[in-house]
Amino acid sequence: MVNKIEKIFLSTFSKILTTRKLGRKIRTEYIDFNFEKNNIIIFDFEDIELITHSFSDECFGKLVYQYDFNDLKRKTSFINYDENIEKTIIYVLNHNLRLKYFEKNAKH
Amino acid sequence: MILSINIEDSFGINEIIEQLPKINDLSNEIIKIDLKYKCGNFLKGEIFAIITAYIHYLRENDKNVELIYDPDEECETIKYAARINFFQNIGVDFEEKFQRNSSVGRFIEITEFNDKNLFDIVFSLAQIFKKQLNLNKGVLNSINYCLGEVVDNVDTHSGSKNGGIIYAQYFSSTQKLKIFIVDTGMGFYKSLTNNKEYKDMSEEEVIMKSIEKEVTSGKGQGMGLFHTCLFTIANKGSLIINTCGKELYKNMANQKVIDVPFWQGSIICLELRTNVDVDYSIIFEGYEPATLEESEENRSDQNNEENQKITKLW
Repeated sequence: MVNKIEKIFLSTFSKILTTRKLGRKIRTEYIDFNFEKNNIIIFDFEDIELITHSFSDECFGKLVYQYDFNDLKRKTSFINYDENIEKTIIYVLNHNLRLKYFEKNAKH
Repeated sequence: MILSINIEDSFGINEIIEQLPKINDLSNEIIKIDLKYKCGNFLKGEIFAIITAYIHYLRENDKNVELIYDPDEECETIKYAARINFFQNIGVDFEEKFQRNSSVGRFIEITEFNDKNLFDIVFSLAQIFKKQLNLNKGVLNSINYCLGEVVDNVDTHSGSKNGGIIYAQYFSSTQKLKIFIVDTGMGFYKSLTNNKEYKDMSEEEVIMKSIEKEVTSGKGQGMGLFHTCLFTIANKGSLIINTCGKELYKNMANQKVIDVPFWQGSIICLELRTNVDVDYSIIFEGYEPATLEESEENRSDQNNEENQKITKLW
């Protein structure tokens, strides 16, 4: 059962979302924390000027490994993003989904 | 022991690296680095960035390093070194008896970054670029993307104990911005050949491979340097990578690899044109989502919920 809805205003970290270190910080300190409490997260990209693949991979892509993907979709939503942000996040999600799928099937 | 470094105004980084011994060739005596230059010569700032990185590297490896230089207060050359924070970065007291002119629109001082301040440094440099240079959004985003990814590579792949060094200079007459990112980590060859796919490659093959899409040591996605290269070319600028005794030079017309003196780690130089607009969306050209459902061998598995392709955020 969903506990509450948390909005993460990403621009409070920076208008330029870059480096794996920042991505990891947001994932481990905010996303994991909220998921543990069974909260729903809304990622708000208002005022974000730039997002890099490394940041996205660490912040969003790695979630694919940690959580069931359909569960992830149910517990998250994204708002106020532009086309470039969307493409970058889609890229890392697909990339990690593919890796996860191949790793899983290689083991079997 | 005294290690003399001769610096002339025509020298670039390789003429300096050539004079720097490998760490195993140094004794455990105090190393006195003696800078030899002619006062009044215009020396390139990146030379001091390289010497800074070298001194940090020696100290990380428990070498005792001192600096010898002509302390002539009127020497413009040494004032310049002080102004770009050379002495400050190597922990040498230098009393500045000159007025510090603003760096706005001209350069970014030698700046050390490490895993603690990595993000702050990238962000503050991005702010400086934004304020100092009248750049349009495409160029600014491209510069910030490149900077973020290259600095991130140092943190993720280089294994450098002490992070790295950034130095940037803007040449208003040619409207070119040169950014140097220097580390003293393991270098591209050792990093990339950790990946069994590239383990048999030569140094030259590794350096050329490093700018291709999805080429990685295994710790990343292999997109950062690839996109950095795309941006540089779209900007009609150039990308220079110096590592493992090779130097890759790439611009929109040429790509060549030459032998250079060995530097422990890597040096990346981005030369960007601030007057040439870049469409940031070019990084998505030829963009191919990692489709599983489109690959022949997985067609039968399309209904598997993990075997799906995302085309939009939900």
